[in-house]
Amino acid sequence: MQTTEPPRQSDKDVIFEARDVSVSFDMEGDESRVLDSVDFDVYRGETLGVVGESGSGKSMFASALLNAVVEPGQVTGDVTYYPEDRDPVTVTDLTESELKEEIRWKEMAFVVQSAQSAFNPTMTIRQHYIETLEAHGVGRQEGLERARELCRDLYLNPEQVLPSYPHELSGGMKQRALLALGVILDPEVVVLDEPTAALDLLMQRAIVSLLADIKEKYDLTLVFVTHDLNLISLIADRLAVMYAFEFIEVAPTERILNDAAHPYTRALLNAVPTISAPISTMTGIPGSTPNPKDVPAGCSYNPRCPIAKEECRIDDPQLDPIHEEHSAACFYPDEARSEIGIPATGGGDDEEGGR
Amino acid sequence: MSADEPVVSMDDATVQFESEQLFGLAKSQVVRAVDGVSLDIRENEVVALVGESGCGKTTLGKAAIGLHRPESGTVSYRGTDIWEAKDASGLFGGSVDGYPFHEIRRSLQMIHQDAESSLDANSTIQSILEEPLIRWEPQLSRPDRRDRVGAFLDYVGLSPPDEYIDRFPHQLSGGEQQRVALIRALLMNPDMILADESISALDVSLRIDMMDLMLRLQDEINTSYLFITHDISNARYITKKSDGRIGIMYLGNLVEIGPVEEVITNPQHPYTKALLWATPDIASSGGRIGAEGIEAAPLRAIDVPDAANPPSGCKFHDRCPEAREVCEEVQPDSYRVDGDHETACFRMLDDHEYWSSPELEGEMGDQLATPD
Ligand code: SF4
Ligand code: SF4
Repeated sequence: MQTTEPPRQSDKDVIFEARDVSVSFDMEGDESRVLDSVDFDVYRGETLGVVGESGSGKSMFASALLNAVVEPGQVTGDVTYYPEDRDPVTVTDLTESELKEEIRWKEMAFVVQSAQSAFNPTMTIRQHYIETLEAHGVGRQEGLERARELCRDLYLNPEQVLPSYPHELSGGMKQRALLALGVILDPEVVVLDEPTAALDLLMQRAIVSLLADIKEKYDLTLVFVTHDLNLISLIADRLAVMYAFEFIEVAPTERILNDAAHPYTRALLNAVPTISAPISTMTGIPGSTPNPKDVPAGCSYNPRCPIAKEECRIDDPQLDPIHEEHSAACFYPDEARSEIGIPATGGGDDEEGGR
Repeated sequence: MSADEPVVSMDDATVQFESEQLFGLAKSQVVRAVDGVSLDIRENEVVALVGESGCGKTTLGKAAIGLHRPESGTVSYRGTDIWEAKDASGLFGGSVDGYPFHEIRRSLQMIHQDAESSLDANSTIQSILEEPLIRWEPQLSRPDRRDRVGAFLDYVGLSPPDEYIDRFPHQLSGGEQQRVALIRALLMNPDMILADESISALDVSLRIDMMDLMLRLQDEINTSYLFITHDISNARYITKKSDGRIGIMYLGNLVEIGPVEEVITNPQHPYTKALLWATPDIASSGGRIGAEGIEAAPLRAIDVPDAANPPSGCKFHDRCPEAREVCEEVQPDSYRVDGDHETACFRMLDDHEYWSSPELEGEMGDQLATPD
């Protein structure tokens, strides 16, 4: 522990507070935890990037925030939502119909990866918008006016897009139309789960820029879940890295990129090919991500960690503050930084050659 | 290594498809997926083709290994026209000059993006990998084949091989399946392997290792790779490590090609520049773009035009920030930038009428205001 009192998270204007949140699946008597006792605060007005590889728990976190985990997944713990001018709401206590009525779309919207499956193929985009507007008692006239404006914000021509069926639009157009649907009721928060993964490079980049634009214009809080560290670094104020169903590091984006303290984060920075880093600094991460049935004892990263010690096989490090606004779940953050090079500090771990 | 005769040579190749309109409402349209592309792939060379979906890169790759027949132009394997060899093999047992078709087929292999679906779900790894050996090396005994398969599994890191050899594809992880698919292609002892987005589906932590593995195996068995990807960072990694080339495709055309570092650090085509803009780089930016919105994009339109109805002249003109009137009318040829580096843009020619042609009006978002 540090001697100087770390700034308390509650100094921040918190919009979501997750406490001891787990998601588990009961597989024939075997419990699989795909999100493991997570504590996390999302700040109002921020763009938070949640980064992890497949099976890290990142999508579960997104679903749990909105209490949208699908059966037979079980959520435990509390997610509290703090509206700007009303009393806090414990999202995890609400029933499905209460959620629909009070929270979803109006307060928080969920944009998924596959616009294809989010739209009903027999309905036009306009009909989708109308359906959502009417379900929440918003006048058609006024609502569609907003829809048109949103389309234009997202560089969609409303006269072309509104009367179209989903299949008549390209993947990038569909995804933008879905984004517009997400923002149509003026929510506070938009949670995006891999919203660009199925799209081409130029479209991904365009959508990220458009998100930055609409976030500004409509005063949104964005939670952007992705495996793409390069992409999310463009707009995230903070990055939260997940490994083995937990958060293992959280910090402002610049600090993650330049001064990451967790060995997994540093390995990830070296594993992501970029267009400028020297080829010799890029290296994969040996070993594989644990599956929920056998997460290693102690620190879940210890079998793959180049600086693991005895202690790491026994005790599980907590996500503790190591610096202002920077937390990491590792016993040896200083050693990680001196032993494992990253592109920003001019070099990866070249000794890592022996396979 | 003789650089004289390419392994595969495409000359002005065009591949087109009829696209069925949904619900048969309109008549079918012809999509020219590959439109007059010339490309040589040399012995032991790695060429990465980069482009967005629908740009024709997969079709071009498949045409290069003889899976799509070009409408016009030619595709040859070491000087033998693949389709002439194919036609001859049907007629009189393959006795043309040059290589017989079945040999060409064996020499040009492919690994798919989705390794799992390309592996027979009902066969064990052993029988999947044994099949090419039975076909191409019938003299091998059963134990010999098992040894050979085991040695390969070990080499690619699936060890101990005995743990893997009797499993079924679904019992392997995505990365392991991809390695099995790679072995299967390699057992044919091919001269070129088409790797179609075979890295993109893997988790970030596995990509570098898979590309390294492909390159290590290349050293062992002498093969060329035609590596297809939408990700310019992956393309850079594999070509830079092997001194290869990157080709950029847009709507059926190869708009720029050259040695990797030339294309990445000295891009000439406005589309290549747009792709590089779109490729975020944590290594150099060290931070977020902040307020920089879409206005900063080096593009005049976000969306790609319909491939069945591509723009006239230079197909990039409706999105190109440098477009001038002549670009609407005339399609640029490929011009040499320097050495091996070529690009299809008029701006390469100092004396082209492009320079006196009026600039095209319009910028991003214009199409939103005027519905037609
Ligand atoms: S706690 Fe130990 S094993 Fe875990 S990341 Fe830190 S050093 Fe590595
Ligand atoms: S030829 Fe014209 S439209 Fe095409 S890329 Fe060059 S400047 Fe742009």
